[in-house]
Amino acid sequence: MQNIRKNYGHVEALKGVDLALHEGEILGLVGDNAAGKSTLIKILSGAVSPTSGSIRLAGQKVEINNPADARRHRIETVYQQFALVDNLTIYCNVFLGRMATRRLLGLIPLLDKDRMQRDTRDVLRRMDIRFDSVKRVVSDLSGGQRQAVAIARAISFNPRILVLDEPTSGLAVKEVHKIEDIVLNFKNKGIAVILISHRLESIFKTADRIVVLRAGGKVLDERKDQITFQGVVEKMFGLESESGGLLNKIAGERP
Amino acid sequence: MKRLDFLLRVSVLLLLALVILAANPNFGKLGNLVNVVRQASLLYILGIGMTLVIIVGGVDLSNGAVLALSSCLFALCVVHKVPIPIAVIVALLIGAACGLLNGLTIVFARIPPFIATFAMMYIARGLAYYFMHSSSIQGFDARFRFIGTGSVLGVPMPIVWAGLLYLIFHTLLENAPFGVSIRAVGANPESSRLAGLNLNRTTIVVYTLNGLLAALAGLVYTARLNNAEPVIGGSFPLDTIAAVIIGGASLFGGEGHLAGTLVGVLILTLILNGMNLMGIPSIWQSFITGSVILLMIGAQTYAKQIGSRRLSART
Amino acid sequence: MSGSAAARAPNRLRINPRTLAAAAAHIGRVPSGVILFVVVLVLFSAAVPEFLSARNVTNILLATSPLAILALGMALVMLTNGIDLSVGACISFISVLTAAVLGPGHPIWLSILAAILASALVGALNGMIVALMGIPAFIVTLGTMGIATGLALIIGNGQTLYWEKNWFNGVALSYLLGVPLAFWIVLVLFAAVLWIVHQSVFGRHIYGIGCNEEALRLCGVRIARTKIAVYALNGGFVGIASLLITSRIASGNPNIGVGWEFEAVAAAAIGGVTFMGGRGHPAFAMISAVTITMLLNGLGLLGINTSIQYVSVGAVLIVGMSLNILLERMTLLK
Repeated sequence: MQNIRKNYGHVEALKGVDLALHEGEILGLVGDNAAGKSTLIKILSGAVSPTSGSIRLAGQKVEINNPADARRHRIETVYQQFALVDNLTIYCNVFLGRMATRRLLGLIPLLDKDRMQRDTRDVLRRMDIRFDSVKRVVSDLSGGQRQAVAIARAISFNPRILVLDEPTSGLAVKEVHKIEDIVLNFKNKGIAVILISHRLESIFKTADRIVVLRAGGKVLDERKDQITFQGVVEKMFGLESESGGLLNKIAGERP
Repeated sequence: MKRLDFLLRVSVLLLLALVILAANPNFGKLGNLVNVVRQASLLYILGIGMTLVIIVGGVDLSNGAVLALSSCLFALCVVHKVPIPIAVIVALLIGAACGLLNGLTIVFARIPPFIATFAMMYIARGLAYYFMHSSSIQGFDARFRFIGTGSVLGVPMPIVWAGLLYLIFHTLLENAPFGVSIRAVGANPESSRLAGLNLNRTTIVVYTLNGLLAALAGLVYTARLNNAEPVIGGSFPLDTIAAVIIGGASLFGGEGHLAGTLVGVLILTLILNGMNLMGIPSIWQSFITGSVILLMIGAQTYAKQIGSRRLSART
Repeated sequence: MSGSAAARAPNRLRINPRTLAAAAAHIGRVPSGVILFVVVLVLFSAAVPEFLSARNVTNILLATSPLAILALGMALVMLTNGIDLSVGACISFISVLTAAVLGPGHPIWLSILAAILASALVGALNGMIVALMGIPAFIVTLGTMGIATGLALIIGNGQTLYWEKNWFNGVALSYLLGVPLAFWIVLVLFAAVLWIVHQSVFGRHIYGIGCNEEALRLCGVRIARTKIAVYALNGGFVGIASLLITSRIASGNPNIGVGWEFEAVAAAAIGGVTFMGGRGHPAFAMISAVTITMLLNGLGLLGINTSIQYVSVGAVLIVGMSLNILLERMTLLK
């Protein structure tokens, strides 16, 4: 993404942000609230159009004006609100909007439940997740399990780029680790991931590279081994000039 | 969980039947039972449509009025020497058109379903009165009346209709993509939209189907009673809604099964039949029906709350 | 003014002018139903010469009184995200009850008291089941509707009841200073509702429940109490409306209330109070009630078939609602 600008009226949500993503890489996108992270990925996923700037995929310039375009370019986004339907089963949620059908008497389209269940189990296996049954209703699942289903849905579209917006918000520690494992799993599968999170520990655990946005502009873009936790926090809040002691108080115990 | 819910409802139905049987052994006579099921079938045809509407998160107060309007227009066509098959098609089209209008008003004018269908109720009822000059029409062709009074292999036609429609719509709801769409849109419209479902189309189709079913029920009704008048069906909307809710659907959308509605319709019909058999004067009947509806739904809601409380305590 | 208001509201919610302004803005962002009112008024004044005659205007005021009262009560209930479908059946019930008290010769004040108490009790019952058992108001009031219908039939054995002619007959048709007494009653109740909405903690709670019940509950507000009170208040209003109707028809008719609940909801909805809860002002509901009555009156004067009158109520409802929604979207865009 090159020189992306987004203005909402006279509010500059994004001031010329460049973002590069490499294949098989996990990119951690961090920043305070209203830094512009959500806006940036919404532009990538076609939910929002930029005021100016361009997007290139594998060197080619592409137009992403709506979610269908993003899907066509194999960019999948999992939003914070899960986008799951509570009273439907796991496999129904994974296939929502593109249910597999078989024809009864060659004419009447009926749901091909077996195939959808099979394909769902495949996707989950590839992500290294296990459910005792894909016929369970999503509302019975825990937060982490639901997030896993949401991610599975995105994966089932076979994306090249997967964007996860706050995948671990509101989850218990054990489930956060599970999601982190799922994300790490993608590294060797040829999927590039953009991970937005407020949990810096998760970012440092899973990401290869870290990008910090602040007030609509990019203030940091480094590989994980080139920066410290403290450095990231400083950049997020613009506290470069503050003493380290204050920062330790804010950040707490850190690796 | 769902199976348990359903079994509970069925046991309530059976319990009710036993109570009535104990009070009046005539209840168990085959003739009476067939009577009950036949009466319930007419309400069930409407109930199928209402189940879909409630699952998609809406409500339809106009089904009685649409029933009256379409059957009155059918009768008027017949009186004006329109061949019966054409008149039947006219009636069905009118019903579908009213349903379509409901859907369009709700989707595009963004008017809440309660208000939109309530307006349609007034409009359809008013038009029925207007076209009929507030009178009624009787005396239809025997071949037409067969669809309401006849029987196939000993099974009365209304029950045949109910059974057929159950098969068709059960398949639609449980085994077709459209059924999944209805449940998704009703439970979580935003997620459905993000997933690419066409909310507008789903909603409009559901209301149109409901209108169509109301017209069909109207035709069967007219055939059975040999009478078409604009006043019929005043209590139908609330009766069907009560049946669907007793059957386990949720007013918030997403939940509901046709089998549940069947149990709901049977319970309501049983209560009425039981009261008649027990010789309870008709003036007491609305009191009792209202109380029973309240008790049943109250018990259901309470049980659901206790159930979810226990579930959250366990986790 | 803020001093005495603060004294009346010992709660943290001190009523100061700024809060009042915010409340007013929150309550009546869009003048719902006013446009419709004006349109209907202008249309019929032009179409029918005697529409604005003194006699017809007082006719309209008289005819609209019960619906206006019902609309006020229904608006308050709908503001809490609720609804009361038993209103029509209660009108029948109270009508028969009143006649049953008057029949044997009991004093009139007793029948009035009984009417208002009984309907308030039904309202409180509705409120209790909704608030304490968590069952949706739609279902609860559906049930009480059946119960009230039954009671209306049971008390009079299915008959319409009459009583010895006394001053109660036609009191609803009497005038005071040229304005129907019935409408004076409407104005008094309207003033009471205005006070509730703008000056009382009760009113703020009503709006709060409609907006964000959970937040209020966490603040320690007694939600159940407020809800029960709202439904009971609505019940009281229903009782008054029923008394007006009963006096006018000089009998206790077990079928007289059929359909009133829908007209009350329609008036409230056109007046901007919908199921979104917490938005809208009862005043507009009242104005919409007058609009509906004007419409029916005007169509009647034009000699239009009653069935077409039915149709027009439905059409007006749709038009009115669409207008509201359009207005809302326009103000939101600004």
